[in-house]
Amino acid sequence: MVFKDGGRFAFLLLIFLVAVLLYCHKKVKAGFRPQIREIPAFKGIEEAVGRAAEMGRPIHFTPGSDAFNAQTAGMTLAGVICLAHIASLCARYDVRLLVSNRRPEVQPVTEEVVKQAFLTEGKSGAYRPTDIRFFSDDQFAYASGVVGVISGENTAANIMLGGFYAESLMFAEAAATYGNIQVAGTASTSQIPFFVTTCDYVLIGEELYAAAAILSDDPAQVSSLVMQDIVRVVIICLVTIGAVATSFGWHGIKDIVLKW
Amino acid sequence: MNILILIVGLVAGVPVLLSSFAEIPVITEVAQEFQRWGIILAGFSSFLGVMNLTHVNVSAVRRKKKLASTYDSFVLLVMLWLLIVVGVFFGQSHPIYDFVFQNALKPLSASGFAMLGFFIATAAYRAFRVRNVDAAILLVCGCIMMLANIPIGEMIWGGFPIVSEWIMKTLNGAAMKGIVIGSGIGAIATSVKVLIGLERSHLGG
Repeated sequence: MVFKDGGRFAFLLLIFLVAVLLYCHKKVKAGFRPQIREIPAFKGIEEAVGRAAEMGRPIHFTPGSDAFNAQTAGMTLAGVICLAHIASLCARYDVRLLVSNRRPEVQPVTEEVVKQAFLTEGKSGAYRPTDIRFFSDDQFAYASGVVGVISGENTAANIMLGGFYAESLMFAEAAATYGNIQVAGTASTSQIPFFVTTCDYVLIGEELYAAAAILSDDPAQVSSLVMQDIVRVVIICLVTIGAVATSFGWHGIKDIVLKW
Repeated sequence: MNILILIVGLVAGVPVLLSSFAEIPVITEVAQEFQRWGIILAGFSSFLGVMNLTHVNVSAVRRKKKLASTYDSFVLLVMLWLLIVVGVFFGQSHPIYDFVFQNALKPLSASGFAMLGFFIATAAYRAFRVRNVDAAILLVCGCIMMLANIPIGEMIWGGFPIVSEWIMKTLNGAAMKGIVIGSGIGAIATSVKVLIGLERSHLGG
């Protein structure tokens, strides 16, 4: 096996990550429950659904611009995982859920997720296939479509969880103009400032991935949170030791990470 | 059915994952082949997207709920199918295709992008209202950044570019690196969960 530069280290880190995930999964299944800090945005999702139910108006959700085969697919996946929970809440409280997609391959997945959530809640009759919409994979055609849904359907809340680009501000500003309560989440660093300034609740970076765990209380999700914390501590230690060692002229850790 | 999808995901995902660590000719070839299949599948899903778009807008035209949205849906359907028919049967160099692209799609995209400037102005107005300490810090940093990026800023005080560079590299850079490390681990964790089958909610159950 011929490893690329830094490939051995990355491969070992992945093996470590999977091992820790499986160990944590076993512990959580056995009854271990870690203390999870409260993040206001998680309550914000329930607040948004509750407000829409009170007002008798629909909720808009979009999983963003990224496809499943892009390097940033993790954000779209996290958005779709959260959609399952949001769809369950909407079905439970009889709230109409409108989903807008930019990527055609994400469309059937969101359709299936929403349909299953309505079926599980025993509200299959309330599921409307025409509420899960694909607009266009052209950025501004998709943006126009979403703005059209927010304005035309008189939504009460706008939830944006996934990967976003320049269109993020168009969605957030349009929804703010129509008085929507807004929950946004992305790991795209260039769009976080726009969401922070325009939305009521924001999931920043890793919080987007943690959202699914906190929303569902599923052992797999909770164990992944514990695993992320353990791996984060390991990486912070590596970065700190590496920075100190490099400052004193020893490049061993840097070489292991980049070249081994 | 879900088990079958998980097995397919695992079989297709592992070679692609391995090929990013090591150069093994067989694995690299298999990974490239799976990535090509992915592109073909995405192509097929475009067809599903077009069908969804047609279904939603035909329903809107039939319902005739609001005149404006009925008109929008009608225009969308005509343009969508006109471009598909012309593009498929006469090619993308056909004058009708070119006319619609140059005179409808391009100006509309440019207008969409241009609107961002106004959205940034309204968002900045909302963000810069000093309601708490965070908003005050944001306002001060925003003013320094703006002054550093316009010629008159340097004329007022030569230190603006230096302070702005320090804000970007030290304060902003440190925060962004923290976010990137955290979200990187989160993305890997989500992908690994999907790959080994611990995460199934994206399959609808």
